[in-house]
Amino acid sequence: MPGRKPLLEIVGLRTQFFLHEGVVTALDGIDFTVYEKESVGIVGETGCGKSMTAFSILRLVPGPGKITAGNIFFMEPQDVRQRRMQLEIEAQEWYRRSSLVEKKKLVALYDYRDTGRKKKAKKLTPAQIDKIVPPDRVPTGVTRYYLAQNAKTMPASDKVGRAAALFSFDLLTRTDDQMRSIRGKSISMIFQDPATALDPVFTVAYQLGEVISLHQGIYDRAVLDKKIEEVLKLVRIAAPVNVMKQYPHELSGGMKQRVMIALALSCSPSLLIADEPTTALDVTIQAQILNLLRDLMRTTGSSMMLITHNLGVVAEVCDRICVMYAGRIVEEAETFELFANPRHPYTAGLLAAFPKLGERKDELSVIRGTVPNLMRPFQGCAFVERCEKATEVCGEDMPRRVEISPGHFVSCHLWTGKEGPNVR
Amino acid sequence: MEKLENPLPFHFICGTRPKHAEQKHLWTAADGGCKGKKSMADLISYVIRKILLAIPVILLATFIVFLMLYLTPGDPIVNILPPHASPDDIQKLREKYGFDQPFIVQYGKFLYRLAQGDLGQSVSRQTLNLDVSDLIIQRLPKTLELMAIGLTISYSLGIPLGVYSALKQNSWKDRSVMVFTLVAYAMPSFWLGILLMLLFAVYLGWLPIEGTVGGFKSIILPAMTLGLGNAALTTRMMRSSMLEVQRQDYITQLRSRGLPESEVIFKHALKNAMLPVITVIGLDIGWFVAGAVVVETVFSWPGLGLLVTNSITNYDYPTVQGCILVLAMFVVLGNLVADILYAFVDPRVRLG
Repeated sequence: MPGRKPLLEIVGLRTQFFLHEGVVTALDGIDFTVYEKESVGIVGETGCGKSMTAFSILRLVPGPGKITAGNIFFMEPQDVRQRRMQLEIEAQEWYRRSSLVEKKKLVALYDYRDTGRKKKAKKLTPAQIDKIVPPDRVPTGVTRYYLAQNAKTMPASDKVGRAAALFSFDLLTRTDDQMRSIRGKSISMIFQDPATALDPVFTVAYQLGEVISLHQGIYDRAVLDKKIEEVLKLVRIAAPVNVMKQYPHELSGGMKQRVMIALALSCSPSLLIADEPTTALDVTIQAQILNLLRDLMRTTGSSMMLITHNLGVVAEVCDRICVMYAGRIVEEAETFELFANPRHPYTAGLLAAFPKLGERKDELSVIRGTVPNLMRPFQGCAFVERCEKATEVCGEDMPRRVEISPGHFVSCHLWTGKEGPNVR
Repeated sequence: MEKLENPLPFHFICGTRPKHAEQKHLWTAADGGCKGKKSMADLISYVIRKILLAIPVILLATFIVFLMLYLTPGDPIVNILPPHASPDDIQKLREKYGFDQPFIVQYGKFLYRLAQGDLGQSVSRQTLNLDVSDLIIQRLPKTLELMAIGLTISYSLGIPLGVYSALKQNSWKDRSVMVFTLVAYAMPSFWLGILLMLLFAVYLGWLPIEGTVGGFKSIILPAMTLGLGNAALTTRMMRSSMLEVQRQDYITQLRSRGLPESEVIFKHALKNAMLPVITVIGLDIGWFVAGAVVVETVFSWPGLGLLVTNSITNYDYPTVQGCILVLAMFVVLGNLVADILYAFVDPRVRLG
């Protein structure tokens, strides 16, 4: 997308949960970009990995979960990004040329998808490697490995190249302390249920003051109070001075969500992640909160990632939409384009299931079947069992992400050019 | 440097508002109007109401004990008089102390005296005709001392251990703490007392076996015996409550705001996790009263508990009654303190 600066770029992100029963792949190679001053909607069914995407970005994946592959580039300067992309292509070529021994090392080091433990390189047979990484694909860890190796030999003058090679803008390479200074300051998050997401034993002012003094170094009480008042005014709370002194249980649901938004925006983050911000609210309040979010995004110039299962919400707020299914992004397009021309059968099904006002229907249309078990690794497309247009190849091979028109990406065999209608 | 000159306000660190803050200031200006805040007047009326409500409870306790003593076979008179006393003498003395009267009259007399602040006189051979209130006042400090140290041991051990074990959930450290608590809780306190006595007093000789002659040293063993069981209970409660709180959305939310882990755990999670533990402080005090009777007997600790057991064996009804009255007041006061504490820590709870 020329002319726009990417703010957050996620490449091949994979998050897995290592349970006693097996490995659950919550996110399976997600790619998407959030540009500056843009709202991106992430849409999908419950359990498709929407929230996990948010937690992965903040590196707050709970419990037995781990981010096992991929990169999350945040606020990467344009030149570094371009150089990184060049280097990535180089790395992929290098991988294709590299010997079996080299491949073994790589797979052992960077792609431990099935066990959660790093495999001993020597024990892998070529067949196993082919199983983990199909021969025609490049494992996501390769770029990092190759570039880290390369950074040592790169000339010092190639500063941009070195920065790119060391992935200094990758959130996954940050230390915990660095991550903490990003959370709440550059990237902040709004939670689904405002009733449970505020600490019940501290006042609103205390919780806001804590974040502001932490990230902005303001310790003077009077200044802090003024700042808190300003932030509360920003989210259109009518009597900020009263609300400040109240405890969360004394506020209504809508007010709590406003306080949550105030908390998230108090340090003017460049990216706001809103995880179903309106699900727990009643409909009239929902509209207010959505309008507030949209206006605030416009005035502050930050980007927003809106996670929801409500297509109506994204249509209203977002510039671009990513449709997720079973831990993968199946389609990504501008809002208007997506609603007008849904290309992936899942997106089409979703839109068809959305009842239109004034339309007479005896039965609501549904997508048949249920979401697949994420514990079982898929060979091919995750939607194959429920897809009406599925062919043999769908069950065997994972579809690549193709750009069928500018800015419209689809991962579906119907559109890879192998079969079915081609790009218009 | 700026941080040092202008530190985080005190109320930011402990979540309380300083009392000396000027009236004009935002933090205090709200105190009167906000429904979540507790004012002094609220507190006083609450305490008075609770105490009035406690009176029937205490009276009921004395009634039950009186009834039980009345129903048990035996008589204090036989104890006072030498074994060869004639039945006539026994009868005379019985009439003198009023033990020949019907139950309800005896209890009524007790209540009548109680209303005048008189707990009666002891009828045991050793302390015959001494005022029960004097006996109690003499023994009370010892029991209070024992309970205070026992409670301190129990919470200063239980709360940190519980938090530690929750933070190390499912590791060998957590498991060993859990095994320890199970053992400590399952051991009856008289047996634990004897074991501790054997180890520290008999084999190691570090601490005195019993009594109060050793000064502070002699309180360690009884207080530990009293506190350990409750410490185990507190540990388990603290652990589960901490684990529960850590699963809450607001903890994740605090992390997502970039708060350091130490603040998330020791300020926010701990304060929330303390709530259920505070609610049971009142129950704990009742448990301690019962425990004190056993422990004082095992260690010959001259407190109220020992007085009660001795008085029971001597059929010293007035003394038993007086002690029960005081112990019941302990339990009621303990619950009152716990309620007030709870209301102050949790803004959602209102005194009332």
